[in-house]
Amino acid sequence: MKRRILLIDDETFLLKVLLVRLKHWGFDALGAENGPDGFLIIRQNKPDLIILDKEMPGMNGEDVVRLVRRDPSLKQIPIIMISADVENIEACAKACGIAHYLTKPCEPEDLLEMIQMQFAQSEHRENT
Amino acid sequence: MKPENPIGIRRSIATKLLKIVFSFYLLVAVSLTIGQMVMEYRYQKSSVEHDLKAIQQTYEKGLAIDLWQLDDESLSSIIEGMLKLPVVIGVSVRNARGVDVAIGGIIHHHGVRVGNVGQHINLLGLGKEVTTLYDEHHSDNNYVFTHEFPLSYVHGGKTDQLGRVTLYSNSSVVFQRVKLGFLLIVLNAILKTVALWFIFLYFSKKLLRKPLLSLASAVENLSLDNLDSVRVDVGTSGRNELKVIEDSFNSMIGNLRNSVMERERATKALRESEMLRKRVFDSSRIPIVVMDAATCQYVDCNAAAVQVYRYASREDVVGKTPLAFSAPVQYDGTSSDIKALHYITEALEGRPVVFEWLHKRPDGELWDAEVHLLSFSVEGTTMLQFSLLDITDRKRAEEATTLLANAKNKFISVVSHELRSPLATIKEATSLVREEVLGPLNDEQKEMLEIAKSNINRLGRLVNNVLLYQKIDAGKMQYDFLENNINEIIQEAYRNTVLATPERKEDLVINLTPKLPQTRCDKDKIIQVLLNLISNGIKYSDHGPIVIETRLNAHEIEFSLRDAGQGIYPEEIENIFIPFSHGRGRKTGGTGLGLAICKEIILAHSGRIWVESERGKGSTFYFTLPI
Repeated sequence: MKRRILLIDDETFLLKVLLVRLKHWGFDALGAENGPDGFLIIRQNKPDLIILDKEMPGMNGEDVVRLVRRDPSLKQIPIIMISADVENIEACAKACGIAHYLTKPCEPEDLLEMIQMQFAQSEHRENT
Repeated sequence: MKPENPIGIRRSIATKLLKIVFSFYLLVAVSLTIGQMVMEYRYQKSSVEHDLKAIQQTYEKGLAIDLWQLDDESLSSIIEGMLKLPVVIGVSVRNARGVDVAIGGIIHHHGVRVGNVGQHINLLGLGKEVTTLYDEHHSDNNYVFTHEFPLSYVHGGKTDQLGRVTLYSNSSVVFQRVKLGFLLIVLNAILKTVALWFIFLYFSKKLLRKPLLSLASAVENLSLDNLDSVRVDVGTSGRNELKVIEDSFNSMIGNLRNSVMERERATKALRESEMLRKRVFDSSRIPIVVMDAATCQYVDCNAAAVQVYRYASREDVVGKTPLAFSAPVQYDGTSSDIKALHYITEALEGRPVVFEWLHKRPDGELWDAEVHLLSFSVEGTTMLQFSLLDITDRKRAEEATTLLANAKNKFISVVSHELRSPLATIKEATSLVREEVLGPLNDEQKEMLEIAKSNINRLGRLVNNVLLYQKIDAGKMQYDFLENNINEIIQEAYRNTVLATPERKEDLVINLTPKLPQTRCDKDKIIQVLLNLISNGIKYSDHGPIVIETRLNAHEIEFSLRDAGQGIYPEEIENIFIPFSHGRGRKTGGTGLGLAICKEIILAHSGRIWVESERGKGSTFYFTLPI
């Protein structure tokens, strides 16, 4: 069964090309252009992994992470944060309790590696 | 001017001296006079005794004959005759048996008075009476003295002792004789005393009193103003005590004159110095205000202070407290009075205090000053000096610079972030096409997309470096200094480089000094420097070795990287570590910030970085890290 990945980013073009990339890698990729839409999809589709942009107008990446982590049925979903704000991404990820983040622009290989690592960890958790 | 005699004659030293001297003189004179008188008395007494002897010789024979013949009448007339002599006051004649046979005048018999004034004396017991045997001058209080002699009669070769005659006389007889002599002696003594008195007075006045009074007058008239004209002259000639006093006074006046002149010179110098200070104070372009620490009121200020405070005159400033010239609140939000008190207290503890102060002018305009506050003491009063430096313009400029710098940093940050997102999209989109995810490509298309990838990466690096440099420039770069081995760091950088550019692996020559000491550095930052230098070496030398070496110096480890490229033009060497200072030999792919970032990182490690290069012979980059 294909792993389902939700990508939330207000950059429409990046969202589009990354969805192509994820699908190319064989994932069931979903996309949302803002936080509320993204959170709605999370609740409805329960993705296996969320990749979200830190900076978004209105509800930003941090707000979405907080909502997800507050919901007991969703809080186990692994999240990867991406951001163009190279200076603050580390601090922000740490504050949100996220272990993995990437800065824009990132290499596709790095992203794939991180996704695979997340799934491996999830599987390990499920098995134990 | 004749000096007013301040001392009465009675109180004069001369008079006192005179009294003492004359007391002694009088004592001596009186003693001598008494002595003279005693001598005179004795002389006259012996003269009386001599007279009595002469009487004896005159009457001795007649008395003997009369007594032998018992001729009463003759005896009586002889005695009467004897009593008429002035020296004889009494006569007694005793026979051989010791019986008085004739007596006359005042006589003393064994100390007992027999005859007296006015008494009639019986002579010889024959009824013959002799009257008025002595005159009235013979006072019976006077001392009586006698002259006795024997009476003898010679007949037929035989001497018969008939009796004895006693002649009486007394001191009044002598006194009668010495009276004139005494008078002359006393007169002589009085005259001598008076004459000496006046002579002494005259000379004491001439020799002592006058010179002393003239000295007193000179001293009395002496003042600091007439030291040049006054000279003491006691009017004596020769070397004596007064002359010594005169010389001493004149010498004292001379010393005083010198001292006064010296003082005048010192006073003048002090006045000039004060004037100079005042001038310097007044004409100083640095505003200076002086405050009495006790009252906290300004007591003085110079023209520059009046001007900077924007007041009309010094009087407008003097008497006010510092708060009258201050903004109510300072930049940090503290009330001016609390902050002022803090600084004043600190200055009063003896420390010079420098601080920035927000002032207020009468029209409400605010201005900034750098205040230098120090305390000093003037005759027990503690003062505080405020030197003001108007830094309003500097402060505004600093604020503007800070604002500008902040704006620039913000701009760079925002632009960098804003560049990243589209860059990520472009990168991802071209990657998808280049990787033929969306369909196969021909070789030319692939090549074009490789060029696009390379430049997208370059743009990414540029954005990264701009952000990094801005972070360093803003002082926000954080370093994690730990003990590290530089050789290990170089090996790590080498491995990264080989991974990125395997085609130049053979050219990279690592020649490290073994067992180098640990150095405190931020490993990631040093790797960044090394990667930058190595990639530069690779970029600027298409072929040939790139030699990396380490060396141990006295207090540092030296790293060097030598390439075999074209080298740097001499005029560009100086600017090579300045941002965006690409040289003429510039190669594509650089960001213009790499070496500038390297320099900042090495400087943050207290190290040095430099380059040595010769055009056509390659370059060697060096940096050092302290041990």
